[in-house]
Amino acid sequence: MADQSRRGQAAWAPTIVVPLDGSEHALVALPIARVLAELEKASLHVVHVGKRVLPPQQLLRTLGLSPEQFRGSVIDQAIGSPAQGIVQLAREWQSALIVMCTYTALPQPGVGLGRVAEEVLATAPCPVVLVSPERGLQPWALRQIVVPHDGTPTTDAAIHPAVDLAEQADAELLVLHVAAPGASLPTEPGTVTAPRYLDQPQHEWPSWVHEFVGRFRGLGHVPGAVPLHLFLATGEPADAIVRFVRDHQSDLIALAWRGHLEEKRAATLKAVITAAPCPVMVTRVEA
Amino acid sequence: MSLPNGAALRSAPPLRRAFRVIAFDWDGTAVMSRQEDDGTVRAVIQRLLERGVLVVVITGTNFPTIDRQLSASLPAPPKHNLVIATNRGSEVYGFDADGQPVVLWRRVATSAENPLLTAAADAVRDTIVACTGLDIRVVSNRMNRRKIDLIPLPAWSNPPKSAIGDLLRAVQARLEGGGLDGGLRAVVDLAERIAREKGLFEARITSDVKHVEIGLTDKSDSVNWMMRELAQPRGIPPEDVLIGGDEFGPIGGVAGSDAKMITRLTGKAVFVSVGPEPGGVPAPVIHLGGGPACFRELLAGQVVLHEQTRQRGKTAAATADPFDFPVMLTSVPSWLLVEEGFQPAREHEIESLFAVANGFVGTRGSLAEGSTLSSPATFVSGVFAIEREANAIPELVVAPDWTRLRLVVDDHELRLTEGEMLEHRRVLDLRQGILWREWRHRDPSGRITTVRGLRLASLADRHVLFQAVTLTPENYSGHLRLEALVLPLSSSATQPSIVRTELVAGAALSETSALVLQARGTGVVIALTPGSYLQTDEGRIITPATEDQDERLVQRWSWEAEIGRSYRLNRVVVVHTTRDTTKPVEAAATHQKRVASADVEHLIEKHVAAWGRVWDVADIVVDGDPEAQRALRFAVYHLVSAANPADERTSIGARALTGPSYKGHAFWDTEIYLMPFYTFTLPAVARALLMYRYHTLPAAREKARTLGYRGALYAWESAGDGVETTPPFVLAPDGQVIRIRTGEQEHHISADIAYAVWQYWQVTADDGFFVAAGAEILLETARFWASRGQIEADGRYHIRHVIGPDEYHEDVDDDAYTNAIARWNLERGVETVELLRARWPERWQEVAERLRSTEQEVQEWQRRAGKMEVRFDSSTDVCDQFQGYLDREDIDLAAYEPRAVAMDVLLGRERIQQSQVLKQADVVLLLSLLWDRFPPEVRAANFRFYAPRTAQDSSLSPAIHALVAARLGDLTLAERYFRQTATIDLANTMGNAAGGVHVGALGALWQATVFGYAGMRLHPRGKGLLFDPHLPARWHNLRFAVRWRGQNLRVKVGAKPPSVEIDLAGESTVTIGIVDGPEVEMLPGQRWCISWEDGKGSRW
Repeated sequence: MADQSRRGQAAWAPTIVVPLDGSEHALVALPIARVLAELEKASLHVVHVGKRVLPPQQLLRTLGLSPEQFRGSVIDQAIGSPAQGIVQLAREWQSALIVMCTYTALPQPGVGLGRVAEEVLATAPCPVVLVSPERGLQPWALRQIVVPHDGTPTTDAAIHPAVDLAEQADAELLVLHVAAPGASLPTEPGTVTAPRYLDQPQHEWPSWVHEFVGRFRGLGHVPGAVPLHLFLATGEPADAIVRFVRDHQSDLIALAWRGHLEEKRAATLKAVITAAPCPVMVTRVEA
Repeated sequence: MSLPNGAALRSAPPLRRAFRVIAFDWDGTAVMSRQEDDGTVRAVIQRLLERGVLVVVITGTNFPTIDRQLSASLPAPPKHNLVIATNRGSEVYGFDADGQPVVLWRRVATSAENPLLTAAADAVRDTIVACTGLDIRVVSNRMNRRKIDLIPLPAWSNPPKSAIGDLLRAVQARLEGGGLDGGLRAVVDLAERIAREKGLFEARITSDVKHVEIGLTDKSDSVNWMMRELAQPRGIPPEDVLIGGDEFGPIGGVAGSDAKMITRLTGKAVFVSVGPEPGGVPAPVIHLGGGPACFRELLAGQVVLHEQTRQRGKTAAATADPFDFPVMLTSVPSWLLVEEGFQPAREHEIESLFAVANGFVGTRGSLAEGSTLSSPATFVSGVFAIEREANAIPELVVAPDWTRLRLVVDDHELRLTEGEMLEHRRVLDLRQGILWREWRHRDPSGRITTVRGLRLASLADRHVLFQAVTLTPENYSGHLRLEALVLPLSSSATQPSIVRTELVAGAALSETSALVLQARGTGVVIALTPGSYLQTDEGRIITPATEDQDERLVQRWSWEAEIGRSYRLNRVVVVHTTRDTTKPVEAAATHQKRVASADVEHLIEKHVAAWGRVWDVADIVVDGDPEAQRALRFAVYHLVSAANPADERTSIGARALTGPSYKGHAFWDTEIYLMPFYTFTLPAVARALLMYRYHTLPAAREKARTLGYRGALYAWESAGDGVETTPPFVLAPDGQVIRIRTGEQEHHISADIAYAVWQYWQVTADDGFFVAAGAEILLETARFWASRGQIEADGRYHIRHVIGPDEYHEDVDDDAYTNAIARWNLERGVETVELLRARWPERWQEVAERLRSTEQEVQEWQRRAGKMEVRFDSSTDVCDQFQGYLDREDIDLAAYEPRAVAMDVLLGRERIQQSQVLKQADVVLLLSLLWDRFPPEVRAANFRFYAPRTAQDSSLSPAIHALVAARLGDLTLAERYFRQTATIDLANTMGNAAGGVHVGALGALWQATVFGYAGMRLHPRGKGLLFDPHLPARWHNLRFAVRWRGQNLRVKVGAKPPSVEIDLAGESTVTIGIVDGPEVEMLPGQRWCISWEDGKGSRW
């Protein structure tokens, strides 16, 4: 486990945690994590939680890391529950992100996540970037971030990490609002959904875009230099998000999540994680 | 029992404060008995009311008793500060501007609860009788409760409060002597148990010793209502509330009835008892004793304290006037829109809702110091700008922000988002047209500053804007710096619809600086002259430094502020434009000097008086539904704020002067949705708006000519000159480029304008307008319709390629609304010719020559009207909305509920055009406008057919459905549509109002109420008004005023029994009647009352 004395030392450089368990799948997080670390000027911490502490060279072999893959990184080991160890280290390092594979063995039924990833997501002190094993090890660049947005101020406030990344990467933000049939009126004050009344579309649409983007920029503290475009889609939200991301060949989905994964909750999150063609950054917000 | 004296009061320091709310029990506390007629208590209460104290009487008796003893003799102006909560928590009464009582809240037992109350009381009585053999009686004629008389003996028929000890002994002796161990306490326990067993799980059991009562409410309901509806909206903390009674302590083991006033909401209030309280009082209560005499002394002491406080000019927390301004916040909640705290995400809609405007100029309710999400804007009616690029659309100019302030405390700028916001409240006072603000803020250094302010757009002098701000350092002395800026706003990527104004000169006049700007494209010049001064609470003026920078005017004050002292900024800004004068700078400067020569109190008083006069003719009072009451007053407030009777050269934009959406463009909304309110209440406004259409006839003729028609085709969207300003396309956020065809095809607007002209003339008999302007509009629009279609092979007149009010279906043929209203327009054209020939032949000759009108043409109008194609299915009576409508896909809208977005977003424009889904139902709107032209069965059949197919995706739609549903007697549906309309702007979740209020929907809400619920309509023969009321279940009665041909009518519609009461003031007779009922010829000064029972047979 990490040294307890590190706790609270603000002078440390920002960190990004990449958990590896020795599987081939887990390595898919590395290309993403390395780019994110460069953007955030963060040090990359490869974390392994096992039954015992291994000598460094043996650990690298166990994890399947080549010297090139490991270069420039720091390695941390912990013993015990993998998820708890990962979260504990991220907390101690006050990490900016955890970047990990969605599953390395099998996904949990109906969730799209492995058991460890699910537990990390539920308890992480920072946003978690989830990378599908199907993505492989191909290089990654961040040029476009899709931010699905339900129109609530809570989501506005939750997209700081995405804004920060967009600013660092000179990437554009594509804010996607999905109008879904059968969706109840959000009750959070200050929510702005697609217009309920479309008296004259030639005026309503520009006004709505102006209002939505204005609130997003204001509440999300989006710098004027970050390009931001609003899009509207219809249909079942997860399908619409995935379709949009495919059509635009986007590089990252930034999702706000209210912290529940039990059955009948977070349907959009689960479906997006399962089908996303690019990494998904999940930021937990207070409901 | 000791009599009260000064020493008793002085011994209770918590009472040596000026309370802002004083609530008290009546019988035994304020008066000795209900028979007493003591002018002393009335006089002292009147003095408290005059000082702005909210006085709340909380009593178990009924309203007439208190009214007789107190309120009936009080004068109207301060009486609005009096509230009477009667029937032991079941009712709350307030008073309107005329001093008339209004039910503010009422608990009505359901049909299930009433028998349970009776059964429980009977069971308690029977149990006692069985146990004791005593004569025990149930008194049933009380609202929401049953009283069990434990001692129905002549000697104790009406015991005085002072004899409560003797009464208790007598009751206990009687009950225990009869064998009921525990006496009174045992009866209360028995009542609680039996009430529960009968199913009254929240029954309130109380006792005045003689009786035990089983009820649905008690005094806790009264005080809780008081805290929620009176104290909290005004920011009055419980500590500033005094609650008095005489029965807090237990009697016979039962808690005193006044102890119910100690609740979670009132817990920190100050409680005082003047009763004998033989069993002592509970902990928070100060026991003075001394009865009503002591209480009156206490009230008199409060009068003195308030007077002293006012004299000292202390802080708002201890004064009658929380802002320490020459006007007070209106006290009745239904006149107030309150926004507590600060939610940045809602800021844009708050700015719209809380806008102040007077028809000439309007300012959004933005924070004076600004915030990251503030979108301040001031709009001057009719001042448009247009960019110099192809296809540019004119937009209402955003004038400089004249409200901007910077307050710096020892180099720290005061902002809501920095430091700690201790209190923040904005209140729109609808009655007075004033936006109030109260803000207590602790900066990061711990300094607490109180900022109180008001803002208004003068209704008495429409060129004048006013802002006052009082600053009080609460816990520090330090250096304050205040800057008052007049700041031009610039366009930016985040404000795409705001047009930049150009600074052409920053003229420094001899005493007043002016900021002069010119609107692009149109060249209209706007001049603003601010005049401000800052004074201390001692009256000392602090001298400013004034800077006239290139694009802004800044006045800056810098001074050493003392702890506890107040400093008030008064700022008057005068606005003139080249639309109203050739020399706006000089006019603004002169005007500013004239205003400055009088004190600001005078300015405010004139403004408040002007609003008072408007409300006198425009207010709608709903008795029994506070939510609807507030919504209607909100609607009337914005309708009045939008209009200027002195300006014939502009109309009202879709968002009035409250926001930038719709670019200030006027639509048919003005004539169909707004005009009825103005025509019936403020006809000078209606006339000015119709004159705008008269002045823009040249543009309408040109549009018709360009499209190959004759006559006048008004622009679907128009700005200043009436030229078509509809954008040709829009890029939707789903990436689609949407072609906008309303400018090409939505032609019914010409008939809508004709309809408004005719209705105005019918209601006002303004022959001068009709002859000079209205007739020409009617003729030119009729001429347009005669050229718009063709009599085809089937012998019918067809109008093809149009868009009806239901804009989900474009390029349709024979739209029912368009054709029917066109036919009506053609018929009125013919009638206009006949009228001119008969009554004003010279004018007819002149018009006919100028318009080259021929007899043959007029005959053709008649012929075409007669052949107009409007199809009904003979088997169902359903009118086909347009050719082929009934063949389109029938989509079940209910399957898409709940729904937060418009249907065309969900289905897509293509599919929706192939479906029967309507944005708003043309035929239902047609029913509302031409009601008498359709037989009852046709009205009902069409409403039943079209309502389920209407998505209500236009903000204008639900109110019209409410109107028609109410007229058809379907009150459940009517109420649903009414609530939907009422919440378009006022719901706090949707952000719909960010770009401005939906003024058309607000006008439609007035129509739903007056034309729907009251069923008011023109007499078919045009000689007066008919009524056919259908009030919602919660509405006890509805009151409003209308004007009919120069006469003033005050209308009161009652619910149970259905009734109509009308007072006529004026000089002429008016025919008034009930639909399918009697009619009378009312004489001026007369009141006509009629009521009837529901149901069968002859109901009159």
